[in-house]
Amino acid sequence: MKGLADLLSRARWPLLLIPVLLSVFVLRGSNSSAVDIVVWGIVLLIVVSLVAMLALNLAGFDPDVDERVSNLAGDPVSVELLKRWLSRSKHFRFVGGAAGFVVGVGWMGGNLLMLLLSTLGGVAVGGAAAEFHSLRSRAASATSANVIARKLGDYVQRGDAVAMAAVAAVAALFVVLSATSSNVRSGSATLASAGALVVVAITLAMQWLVIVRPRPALPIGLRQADDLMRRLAASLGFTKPAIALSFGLLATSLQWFGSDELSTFLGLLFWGAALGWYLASRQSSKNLLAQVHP
Amino acid sequence: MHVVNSRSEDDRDEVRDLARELDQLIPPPSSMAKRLVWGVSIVALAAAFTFLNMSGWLYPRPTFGSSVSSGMFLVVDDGQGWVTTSVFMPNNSSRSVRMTAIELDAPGAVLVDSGVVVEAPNETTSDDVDGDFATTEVSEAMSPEEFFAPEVVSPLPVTIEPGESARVFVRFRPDDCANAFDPIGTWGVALVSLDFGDGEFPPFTRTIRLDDDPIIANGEQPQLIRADGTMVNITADGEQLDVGILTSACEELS
Repeated sequence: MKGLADLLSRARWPLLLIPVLLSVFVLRGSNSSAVDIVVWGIVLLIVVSLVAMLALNLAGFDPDVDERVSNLAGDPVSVELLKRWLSRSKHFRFVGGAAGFVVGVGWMGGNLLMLLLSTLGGVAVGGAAAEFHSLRSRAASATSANVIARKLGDYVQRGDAVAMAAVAAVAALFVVLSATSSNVRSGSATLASAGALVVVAITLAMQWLVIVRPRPALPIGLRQADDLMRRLAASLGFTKPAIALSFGLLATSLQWFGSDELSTFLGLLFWGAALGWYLASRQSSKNLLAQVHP
Repeated sequence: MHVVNSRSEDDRDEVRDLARELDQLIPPPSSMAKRLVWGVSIVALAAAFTFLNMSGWLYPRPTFGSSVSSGMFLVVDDGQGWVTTSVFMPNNSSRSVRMTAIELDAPGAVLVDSGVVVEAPNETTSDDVDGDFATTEVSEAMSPEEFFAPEVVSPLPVTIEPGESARVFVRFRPDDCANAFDPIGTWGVALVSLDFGDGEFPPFTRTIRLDDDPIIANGEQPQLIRADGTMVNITADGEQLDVGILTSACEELS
């Protein structure tokens, strides 16, 4: 399968020509005009490309992982560790985001922001699910452990910690205000705000789980790579997507709760923050390097 | 030769140890075929959930994907001391829903009675919008006589089958005529509580606002009609009087 994906990746230009040639061959037999042939060729090309892209991403095919990891570590074992994490996290996030998008189509009711919120939720859930391996039991043969104490503050970025505290404070305020409001739509606003609080609480629990999970005694190079992997997981992996989701929930809460100018302004601000945190969570070379050299 | 073999074995052991350590830190990636099956399965599960949700099997969603409106006028009954009107709710979902309660969000007015008339699919006009997801349904207005026929109005709870529509009757009166403030903009939205019925699964109850069919939409004054069919807020010359709904209702009911 991987060989096939590599082949598809290398031979993408000839493969892209196949739908065009196929449409020419089929439509010429049916006496279609040249314009029809071109249009159908382009449509077929787009459909085949989209299906291929979707299938490759759903299969976790990550052709540029070597390039992204090249500046993060030197020795081959550390590179392999980080490649595993990057590919795993990217795959889980894509599958989560795709599932969130599909679920959002059923919930949005014409509201594109609900679709965006659902997709963000899927990415956040996928990012967190990629770390669930922390829950598995350790191998029985492990006889040594590294006993250096690790603190959340050493791995979680200050900006993310401040954002989580701010989201928790604003969400708690919104919960109280919407719960005591006579506004008929305040029930949905309370749910959305409480949802933001739950997201922050789960993110904190996940950070604790990922950062303090036991580690066997390792060579120093691999230990450093493991530290970097934990830092990446606790920032790009699930914390930033979760912060983006919680800002989106706060914006949605405002959208249900108020309709004045201040609410609109704050709603835009929250959506802007959600988008900013999502972009910062993307595992691009730039964002990854920023984690190595903060 | 023996020394070389021993060294290569040592190297292999070292690689195996490192691989084991890596596996302890993060699981080895599974094959692409397995990942593809997992990924497609999860998205397919989400698609199935979305289909069930959109067709109203998981949650009462009778108005999903459509906008509704009905010909709106209000009938003033000074004998009973209330104003009657109706709003429209189609059941576009694939599952029957049960209406268990009706409320009215209309500041300055108090709901005094409510009921439902269930209409078969052919009694309303469905206007499909080409190339658009939403459909617009327009219900014909009922005559004042129909408003005064209590036998056709069913008390709650009422079950609305897929494809049927519910005409929700609301009867209200101004709560304080001495300090009546006529509403501006959109006013008078009915809220209906829905579930799937006793013993049905899932046991979700939902209250939806019939925002698409308010009593007053964007400040457009509805017609007020007396029991004898005469207009309240229109002169003999056919001119609309610029009097608000609550003020008119208070004058008629006093």
